Amino acid sequence: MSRDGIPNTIIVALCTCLVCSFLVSAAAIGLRDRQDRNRSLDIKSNIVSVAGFSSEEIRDGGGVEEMFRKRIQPMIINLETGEEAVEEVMKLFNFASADEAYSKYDQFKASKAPLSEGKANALKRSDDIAGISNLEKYGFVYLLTDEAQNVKKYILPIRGRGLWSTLKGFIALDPDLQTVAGLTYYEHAETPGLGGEVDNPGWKKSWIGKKVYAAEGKLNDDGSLPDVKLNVAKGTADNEFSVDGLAGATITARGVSEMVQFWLNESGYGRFIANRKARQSTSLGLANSGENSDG
Amino acid sequence: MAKKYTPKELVLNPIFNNNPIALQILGICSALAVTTRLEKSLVMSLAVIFVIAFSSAAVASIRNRIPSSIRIIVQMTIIASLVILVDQFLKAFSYGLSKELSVFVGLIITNCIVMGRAEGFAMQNTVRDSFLDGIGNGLGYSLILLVVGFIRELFGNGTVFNVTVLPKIQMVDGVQTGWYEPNGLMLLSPVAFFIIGFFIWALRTWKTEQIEEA
Repeated sequence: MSRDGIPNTIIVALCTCLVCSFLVSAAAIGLRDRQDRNRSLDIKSNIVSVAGFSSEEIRDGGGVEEMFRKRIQPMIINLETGEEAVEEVMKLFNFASADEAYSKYDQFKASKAPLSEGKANALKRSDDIAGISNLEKYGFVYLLTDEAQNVKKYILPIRGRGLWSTLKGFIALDPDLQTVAGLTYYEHAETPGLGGEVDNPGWKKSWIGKKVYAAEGKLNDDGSLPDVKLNVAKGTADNEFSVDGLAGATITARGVSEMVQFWLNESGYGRFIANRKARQSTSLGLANSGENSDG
Repeated sequence: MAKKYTPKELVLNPIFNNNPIALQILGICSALAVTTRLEKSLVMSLAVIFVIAFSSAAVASIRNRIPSSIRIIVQMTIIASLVILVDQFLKAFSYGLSKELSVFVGLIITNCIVMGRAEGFAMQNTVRDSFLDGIGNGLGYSLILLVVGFIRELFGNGTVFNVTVLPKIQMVDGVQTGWYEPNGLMLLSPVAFFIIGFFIWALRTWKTEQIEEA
């Protein structure tokens, strides 16, 4: 059979493809469990680090898993009502226990489920500023708590479109639910050096201390949240709500800006935040009614 | 038939005498991108050695059957599969580094050295020779990566393999510790060009036969 003839060409092409695809799929399937474990560990380590622990503190605290188990308290809430909803999730997703729900529920996967299963809702185009098309009904909230079970930080998952990819990460808020305590991304495929600078530690640090809501974060009279003012500036930040833009990454920066607005507004975790704020102001009002009268 | 090579020649020649980066000026792109830290350089080097060695061997093993009309595509398919393999392994065993190397692992596919050895050497030589040639060229590439990575990490961050060598100036509880002010320029890509340039200069001063005619 001639080497350059059509039959030989087809045979060589077919055999190469078969052998190569076999190798690639074997590796992908054989290593999947390990990769999944790495991925979930990476997500936990992002949660722990956005909660404000340095790598030394994590090491001294016995590693990511240990720190996560001891200090971070997961919650699953209904995004529409803003209330704890782990039972609903257990029923809907067939989890045997709350712990199983906390370890296995994947809100990103839930958002991709067929709408008929009732796990997610389609977003109207005009509301979908984060570019995620479907929004899951139930979302995680991670609480950083101290020994006395007081909440020290709220950690909320966020995601949204950048230029090339969906960025997935967390934003941490101080207990006042008005001050940003940190922001991190654990998954994205933006251009390294441009949009990829969302991972730049210096830029991430610049989020800390920024304010989220207008009107000093006080609820409107009807109990709704004030506007989300937190944003990524086009250029240099000049107020307490803005974070410096990223040079050469206009679209990624806009994506980040829109996704924090989406998730911190009533469209995302806003209901949960408003409920918490309402409860805080009643308990604060009772405790501090004398002290704070002169503002 | 092609000329005979000794194994030693195959492995050692590409390191100094015929270095793929320094003499052939191939594979520069990834040498700029992944050399900010020595650990990254090392993992990238191992990945590239693996891919060149096995892709060359695989191409050599079927070199007498590959029709010339589709030979480039066949080589690419083999190289791409090996790169995906490396990527999957990194994700499973070194997740943090695979995230840091991000697209550059995938971009080994486009590293001219890999393709160059497959097309330029493996198509005419035996499996064993091609495998050794791949290792040699991988080592030549690694040498530059490690040298550049070492210099950039040392002066850019004061560390070697993440171990502090030059203590950075830091304020700890109001007291200044360390004395080294990291050179941020070292972490930017252009510096890798300068270092590679100096390396080539040094190499050609040592091995004058590599100097190109003006």
